[in-house]
Amino acid sequence: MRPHEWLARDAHARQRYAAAVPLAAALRIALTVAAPARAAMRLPWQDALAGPGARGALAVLLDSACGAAVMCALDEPRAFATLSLRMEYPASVPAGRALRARARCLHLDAEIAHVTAVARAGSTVVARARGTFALVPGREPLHRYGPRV
Amino acid sequence: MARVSEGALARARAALAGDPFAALLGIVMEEGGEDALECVLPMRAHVVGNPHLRAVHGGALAALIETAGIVLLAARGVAVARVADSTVDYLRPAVGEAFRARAQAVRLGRRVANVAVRVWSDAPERPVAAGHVNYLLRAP
Repeated sequence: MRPHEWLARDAHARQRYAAAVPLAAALRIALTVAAPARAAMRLPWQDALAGPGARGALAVLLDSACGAAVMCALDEPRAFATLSLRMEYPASVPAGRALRARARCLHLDAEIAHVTAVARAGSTVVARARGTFALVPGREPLHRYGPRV
Repeated sequence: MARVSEGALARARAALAGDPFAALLGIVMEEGGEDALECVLPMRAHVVGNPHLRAVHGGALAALIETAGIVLLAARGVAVARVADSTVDYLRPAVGEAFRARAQAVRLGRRVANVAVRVWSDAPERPVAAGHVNYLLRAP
């Protein structure tokens, strides 16, 4: 079973995936969709997103979503780290709405992954990201297959 | 040693206080030596991205970098209308007790500012992240 299959079929696995990252858990970020080389996440509205606060939260959401897309492109769980992240903010974030992110892994080889992601509030694109991730051989993966609940 | 003026400090504090996500992360402002302000992200459990390494989340460092630029510009009396884009390179695992961001204006124009930010934990010459941010400025 590949990571995207495991995450797609088991809601508890998706829950554990997000819960394994303390900042994602603190913001109540949820992994909502897992598919081959693709992932979607949801960040519920909270007061910390008001005004300029939304940008930082979007960086966390899109970095997390990009990481999940890398996971969903792998043959098995492996350790990886963000090498670079570029954020673009085409529109301000309307108050009161959850933010939804979709990420797609564009390239994966034995050493690096390139990922693109977009965040929307409703139908409005509020942020785009490009991320490069480095696979880290010899390091324990952050996410592992757990027992099915 | 040249100190940051009281007016500049007050403007910078107000800019930081206006960002509720910076507050959630726990970012504070400190005078970092000669005529310089630093934004500091203390290591706390909720900002961790990788609990195996106890490393700060990459998105939190991106937020720290964008915030450090806004604080620097505010200290200079320049108000940011919006952030156009930011680019962050992650240079080392972000482990340590606190992460200090020092911002430097590469170009401060009338409409656009480009700010470079370096983040380190134990020593400035060992940065954990470096970034640059393009800000659109509010007309004076």
